Amino acid sequence: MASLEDPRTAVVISAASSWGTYRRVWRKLRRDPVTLAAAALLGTIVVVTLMAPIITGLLQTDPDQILRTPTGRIATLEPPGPGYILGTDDLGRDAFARLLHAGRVSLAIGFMVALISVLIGAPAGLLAGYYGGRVDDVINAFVQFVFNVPSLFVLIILSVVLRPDVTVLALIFGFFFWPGTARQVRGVVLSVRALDYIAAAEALGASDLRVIARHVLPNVVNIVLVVAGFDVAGAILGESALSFLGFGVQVPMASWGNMLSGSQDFLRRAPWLVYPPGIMIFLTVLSVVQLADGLRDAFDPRV
Amino acid sequence: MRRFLARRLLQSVLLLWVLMTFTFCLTRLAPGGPESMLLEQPKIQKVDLDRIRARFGLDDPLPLAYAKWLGNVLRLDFGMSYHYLRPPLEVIGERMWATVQLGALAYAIALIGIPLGVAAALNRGRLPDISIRVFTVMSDAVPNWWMALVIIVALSTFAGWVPRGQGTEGPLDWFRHIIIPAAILGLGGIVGFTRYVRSQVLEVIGQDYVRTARAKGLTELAVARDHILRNALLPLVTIFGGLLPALISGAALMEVIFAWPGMGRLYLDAALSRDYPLLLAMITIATIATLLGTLSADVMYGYVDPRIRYS
Amino acid sequence: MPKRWLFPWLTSLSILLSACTPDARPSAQQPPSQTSGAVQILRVASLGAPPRNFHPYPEPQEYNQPLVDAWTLMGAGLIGVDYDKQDWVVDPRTDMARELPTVSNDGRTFTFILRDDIKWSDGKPIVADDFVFAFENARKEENNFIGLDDLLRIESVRTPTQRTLEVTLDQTYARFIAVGFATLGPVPKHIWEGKPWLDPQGNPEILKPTVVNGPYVLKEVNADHHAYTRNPNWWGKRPNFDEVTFLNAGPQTALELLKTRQADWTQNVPPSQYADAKVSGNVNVVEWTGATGSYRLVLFNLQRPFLSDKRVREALSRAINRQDLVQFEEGLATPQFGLYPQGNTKWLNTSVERYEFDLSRSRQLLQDAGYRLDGTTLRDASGQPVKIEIIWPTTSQPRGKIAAYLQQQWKGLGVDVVVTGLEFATFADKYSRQRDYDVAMGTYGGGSFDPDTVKEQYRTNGTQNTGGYSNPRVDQLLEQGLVEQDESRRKQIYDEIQRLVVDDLPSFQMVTLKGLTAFDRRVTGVSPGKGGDILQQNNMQILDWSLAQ
Repeated sequence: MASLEDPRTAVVISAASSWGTYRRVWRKLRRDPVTLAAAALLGTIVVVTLMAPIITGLLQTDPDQILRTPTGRIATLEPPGPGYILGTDDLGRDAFARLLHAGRVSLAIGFMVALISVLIGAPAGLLAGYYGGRVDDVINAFVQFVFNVPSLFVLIILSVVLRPDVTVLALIFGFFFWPGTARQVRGVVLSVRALDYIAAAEALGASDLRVIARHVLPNVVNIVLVVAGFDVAGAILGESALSFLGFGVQVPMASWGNMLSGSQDFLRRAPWLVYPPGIMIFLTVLSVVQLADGLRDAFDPRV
Repeated sequence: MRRFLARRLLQSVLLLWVLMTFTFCLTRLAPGGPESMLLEQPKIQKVDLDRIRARFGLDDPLPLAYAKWLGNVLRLDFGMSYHYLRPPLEVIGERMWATVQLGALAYAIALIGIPLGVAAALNRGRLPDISIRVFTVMSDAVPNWWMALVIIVALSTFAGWVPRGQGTEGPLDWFRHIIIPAAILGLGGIVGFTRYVRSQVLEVIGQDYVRTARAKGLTELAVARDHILRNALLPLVTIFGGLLPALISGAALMEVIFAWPGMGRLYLDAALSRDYPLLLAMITIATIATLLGTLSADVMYGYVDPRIRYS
Repeated sequence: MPKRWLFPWLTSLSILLSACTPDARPSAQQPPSQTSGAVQILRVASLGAPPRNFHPYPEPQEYNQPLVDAWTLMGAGLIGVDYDKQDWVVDPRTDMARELPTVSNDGRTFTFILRDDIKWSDGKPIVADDFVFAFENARKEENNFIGLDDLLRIESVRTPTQRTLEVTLDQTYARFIAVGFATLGPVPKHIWEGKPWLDPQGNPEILKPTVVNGPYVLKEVNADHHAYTRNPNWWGKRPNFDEVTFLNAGPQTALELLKTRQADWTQNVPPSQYADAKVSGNVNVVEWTGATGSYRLVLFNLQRPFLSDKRVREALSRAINRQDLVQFEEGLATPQFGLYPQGNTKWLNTSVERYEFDLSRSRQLLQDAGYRLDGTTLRDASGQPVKIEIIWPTTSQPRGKIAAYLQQQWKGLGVDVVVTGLEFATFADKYSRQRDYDVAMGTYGGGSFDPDTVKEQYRTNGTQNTGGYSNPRVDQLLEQGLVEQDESRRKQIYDEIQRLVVDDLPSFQMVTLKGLTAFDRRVTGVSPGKGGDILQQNNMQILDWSLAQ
């Protein structure tokens, strides 16, 4: 759960950027093979898992179907081989089909959490940073509230009170993640507002909306993209930790977290059940974080 | 300064109250009370359940129960744990030390992240930076509970030994048992510190006074020591306090896996068996620890950074 | 000490992760002759957290496996149970009574004569007053004893001498049950008198008993382990181990501790680690089928319109292949027919309807019941698709597996099945209190092998009969069975009950789980009988175990 708890240390250095700078960002990204590779990897994972029903359909496997050997026995814990690319699990289901479908669930949670975090956190941070004063105080109170909740403890109670399905889990994680976004966005807004030419624009009577849209938003979009990346990673890892404690996505629906957690008794006996979900979590988190990191560097005008 | 402290303290107390109320309602909303575990006993009759509910005061309407609980808590009386038949603070007191040990060592290990972050920033784009970043990104991408399971199997296979609980036979045994859970737990902290310090140092390097110092012909080392590090590491104190509760939360998983007799496992058990008094006492204490952490961070920040003025 | 009180209490929907009852093939090894010198310590890797207190007459929420383990070591009973013969016995190695109680002519009064040499661990003699003291306190309602129900069946306890207990019940019961009701357990009156019964603040004995009557006394207890050492004043068979230590371990490390010889016995081995354990050189895997073994069943809610029709329940049951379930349990299970675990040979009626796996029959039955298959969807008479939800507690992963299996099997019949895993307290609340479910995955286990043990499951309005099953004839027979004095007539009664209930099919018995536990090969003398808990069965067989050098 460490990643879930990580302080949002990925500070993006704010600078005057506007909508016109994306060409420059892209030029920089093009020269950063690691980030490009991460983007490609993430893209591949997303596309493949999105196409899971088509792929498993073509291979004529089904994540929930219990397979049988020619003798009529259930094909439990069959090693990878013809018929099942990644072997079968302890219930005789095709591990490959489950892995793909689990990816949909895990990614859905990851992206939903990021979305919730951004949808609540960005406006909150924007308002707090731009208007300051009372607005800032009120929003800060909420942020402080969530920051000071002993998160794992409350996560556990929440997942007991509310039945953990994909949406509920996303909402719970979103609840814990949005203050991070709000804080980052607020910081960015404050720095942008402190810039001379914004002050000048305001002095010249530019409307709030205009200032926000022209000068503040581009910076906010940058930071939001970065923070969202860390949210996706945090949510996927967080779901796996909850699964380990028995509070994550419930079987028979598969997530990478509960596949990994369900395979813990088979570390020696059936490694084909243990490593694929672990590797998928690893690759996804790795690529998302690397992408966010790379974007942050690309947005940084000083580099 | 004093006014600031007073205000922050007041805020903290308010926050604590809101959180306590929130968790109180949450625990009571959880389906199944402490008696639901008993429903499976064949001979448990309705009268038995009623007796238990009455004994624990569970029949009070929520507002009344809340008022009673809050009133008692103000007198530091958290009631009586349903399962331990003892005051929760006593039970927590017995378990806290184990978690503090684990957390403290994990924290110490996490500090490795500071030199790593500095090294990465000062060598930006070169081999040390790249390898440190690869290390942090990779170790951040593996669920740490899973890492623990793999390590257990590896240890059992290759060392013929697995850690369980606390070592009791001298300091060496103690260290042998604590180091693996603490290291896994601390890994997340290393990653956090490295990232933070690296970005801080990078930010400072870009500042005018550093450029000036360089222009004056100071050696890289002197620049690093006198200008970069001091300014970059200042903000670190703010996250010292904030990391503490994270470590306690994170420790829960390691406690479960390594049968570490600490608070994390106590909490899980209390949640599953609906031991409300114990549960609420633990959340209250964890919240106080968090609040004290943030508060002390703010205060320390004021001391170390003369630019900060409290109003 | 009131060990015998505790036993019948384990009958419950098992909360434990897996069958943890070792009943095993007899091992050929004989206990070696006493080794001199070296201190013998048995280290047990145990999944349960150490007992939170040691109340000899626990409240319901205190009652759990570690507490039973503790009192198995620290306590002795008036009489004992022979799981193989399925009857009461008196074993001079462990029991406090001289012989089995004599019964009065009306069958209500049971007279126990205490042995002369029995002592508390502080050397004071155990006397009849100790039993009466315990009885009078435990029967007070406010003391919340988990077995209060049974205690209330005792009308009076008289002690003509300090060696004699005359226990009179409120009515006659079948002999085995009656003896159980009449068997009391003592509390050291000279220690407990004047101290509060329930409040550990005023009565430290609750948290740390100092005076007990079993082969071991408590050495220490903390969050990490609980340890016991020889009782210097023990009057029964001398145990071979000087110390027994239960080390708390997670399911991830329990077996590894055994493999790396950091533990000598792993109490609970998840079936999924069975294969792993078998191939480990130093591990002796012990498995058996107990008379009180756990068994898995599908619980139908008869209040649901779809499930109220027996043909539907039969159709669903016939879609379940018991052989598949045996495979899911890693072969550590046997198909079960009848209401009792397969090891309860004395009372099990195996000639009941078996509802063998037969999918085409299932489809026919559903059609007969007025449902029709529309493509892959089963529709009722009004054209609505049939939907059911299976609930299972997430503390029991095997039940989740079976639920997923049922989902697939029933999908084949066109039934749309939703599987919902619930955290245990939530599951219990929904299943037992709200009774708001269609189908629940149940596991019953432990407890008594007396046939009356299933009464609350099948009696009209029984506390565990949450599906609303009711058959007046069954109710009547259950009442008769409780009091029938003649053993063979009693057998007929319960055979009939099993036939009737299985015909009505309020729940579908699937498999009996084998007990499974694992020792280090150095531990000798392990020979499980047909009991549930290996520590308890055959009157404390731990007294026969020892560590080979």
